[in-house]
Amino acid sequence: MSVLSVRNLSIDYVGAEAIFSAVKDVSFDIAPGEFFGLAGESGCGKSTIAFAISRLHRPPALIRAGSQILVDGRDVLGLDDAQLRQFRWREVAMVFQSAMNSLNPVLTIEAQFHDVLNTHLGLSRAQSRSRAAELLRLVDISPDRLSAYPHQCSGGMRQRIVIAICLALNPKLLIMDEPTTALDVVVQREILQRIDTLRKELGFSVLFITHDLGLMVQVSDRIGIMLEGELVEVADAQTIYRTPRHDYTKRLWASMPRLHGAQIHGDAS
Amino acid sequence: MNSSPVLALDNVSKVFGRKDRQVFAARSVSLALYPGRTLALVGESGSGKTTAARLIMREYQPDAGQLLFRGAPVAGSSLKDYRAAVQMVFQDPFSALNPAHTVRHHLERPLRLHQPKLGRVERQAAIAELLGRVKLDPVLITSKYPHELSGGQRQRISIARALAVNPAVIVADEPTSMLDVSVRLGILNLLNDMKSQLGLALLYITHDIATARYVSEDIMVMYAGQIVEWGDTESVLGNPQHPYTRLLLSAVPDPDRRFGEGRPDDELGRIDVIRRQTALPQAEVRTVGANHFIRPMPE
Repeated sequence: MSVLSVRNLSIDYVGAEAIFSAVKDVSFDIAPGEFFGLAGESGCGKSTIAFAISRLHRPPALIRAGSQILVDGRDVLGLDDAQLRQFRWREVAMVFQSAMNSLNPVLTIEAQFHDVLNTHLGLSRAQSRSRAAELLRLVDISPDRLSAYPHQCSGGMRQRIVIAICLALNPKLLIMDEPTTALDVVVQREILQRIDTLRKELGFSVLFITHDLGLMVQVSDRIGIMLEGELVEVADAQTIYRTPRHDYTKRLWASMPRLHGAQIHGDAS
Repeated sequence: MNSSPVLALDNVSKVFGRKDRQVFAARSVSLALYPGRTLALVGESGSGKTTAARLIMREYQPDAGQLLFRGAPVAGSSLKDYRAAVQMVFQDPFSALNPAHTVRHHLERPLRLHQPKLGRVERQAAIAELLGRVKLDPVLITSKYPHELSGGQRQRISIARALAVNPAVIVADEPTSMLDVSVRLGILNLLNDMKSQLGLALLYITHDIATARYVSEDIMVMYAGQIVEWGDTESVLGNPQHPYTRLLLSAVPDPDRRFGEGRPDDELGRIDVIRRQTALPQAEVRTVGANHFIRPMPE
C-alpha cells in the first residue's frame, strides 16, 4: 500500500474578487521507502500541495470537495485537531524551505529536541538527551553540539539539525520543501546524500520539492512535473531525464545549461 | 585576448577582523577583464566573491595591491567618472529597485546624472531604447512600479539601468540565482548579447558552475579569499587540477550520475581535509596549459 496517496486534489485561493486555482485535480502516490520529487517553477502549486498534506494550509486556501489525501490509508482531510496533533511529526514530518531559520534562537539544540520528544512521547530530560544524541549522530553531528545555540552552528549544520528533529518520531513520510536552496552545492550534496542513506536505512519515504531538475534526477526514484497547478508528467527519474514526454518538461531541460558535453543552444522562451 | 584589460585587480588583499583574528576575504587576488569577454568567478558562500566585486566597485579600499582602470591606478580618482564606466547588477531584483518609483524614474536617474545635456525628449527616447535593448516593451513597462513586474522583468530593468551610462564594464553578482530556471536563460542570453554587441567586459559572479560555463570565456575558482585555479573555462571545467575545483564540480547536481552509483568521488570523501588545506595560503602558481593555471594545495 502507498504511504501517501493524493487523489483528485484541487486547491483554490479564494479572493474577494477572483478565485485562483493553485492546484488542479492532482493525483499521485508515494510507495514505502520511495524518494518522490515534485518539480516546477515558483507559483506552480508544489508548496501548496506540501502544506495541504500536513494540513498546514490556511485560508484563503480552500481544498475543494472530492479531493482526497490518504497517508497510510488514513484520510488526512477528515482529521480533527486532536488527531492532527497525533498525525503531524509522527506520520508526516516537514522540512521547510528556510528550515535553518526555523530553530528557536534562544533555546539550546537539546531543549528543542526535548520539546518534541517530551510533547509527543513524554520523555524525561535525560531520556531526551540520549535520544537526541542518537539522532544527531544520524546526521553526522557530534552530540557535544547539544548544548550549543543555533547561531553557533553553520547553516548546513542547522539544516541537518532540523532534519534530525523531523526524524525524531520515525515518521513514515518526510516532506522537504526546497530544503537546500539557501545552501552551497557542497553542503547541499552532503545533506541530500545523508537523507538518501537514511531513508534506505530507516525506510521512510520522501516527498522532495525543488526547481533544480538536475539534482532531482540524481536523487529521486520518480518525479512529477507541475505546470500552473497541474501535474503534467509523472515518470521514473531516468525517463524524465532521457525521454521526457511533455513539451514543458522538454523545455525545462532545454533551459538548463550543462556542466559537461555539448552546450545547450538556448532560446527557451 | 590581444587587447589590454579594461579593468584589473593587481595582487589585491582585503582583511577583516581584529589583529588577533584576521580573516582574508581577498588574499593576493589578481584578475583582468577584457572588452567583449566574460570572466566567471565561482565559489561557495563566504569564499570572497562578493568582496572581490565590492573591491572592483570601490565599495571597499584594498589593504594591499591596487585596482587598475585602463592600466592606470584608480585610487584617489573621481568616483563618479568611475561609476560612468563600471556598473553593477545585483543578486536580488526585488530589493535592487525602489518600490516607490516607476521604471521611468529608475532609468531616468542615471541619464540625468551622467548625461546632463540630454533634453526631456531625448531622455525619453533613450529610456525607450534601453528598454528595447533588454527586450521589454517601453509602452507597457515605462510607467510600471517594481511590484507590477516579475523577477525576470525586474532583473532586465536592473540591467537596463546599468547600461544607461554606456559602461565599459558590468559586474553581475549572482544575477540569476533568485530567478526561475526558465527565466534564467533569458537573462544569461541578454548578458551574452550585451557583451558581443556593446563590447562590454563582464564579471559574472556565481556559485552555479553550469551557468558560468554557459556565459564565460574565462573562469576563476575562489575559496577562502584566494583564486585557486583559473583560465580558459572549458579547460578548467574539463580538466580540473586543484582538489577544491574537483570537489566543487563533483558536488554540482548532475543528472547523469545518480547518488550512490558509479565510482566513488574521492573529493566528496575528504571534504574536510580539502577545505582545511585550501583555506591555507596556496603554493606558487603552476601552469597547467596555454591558458590554465593553479596554485596547488599544500600537502
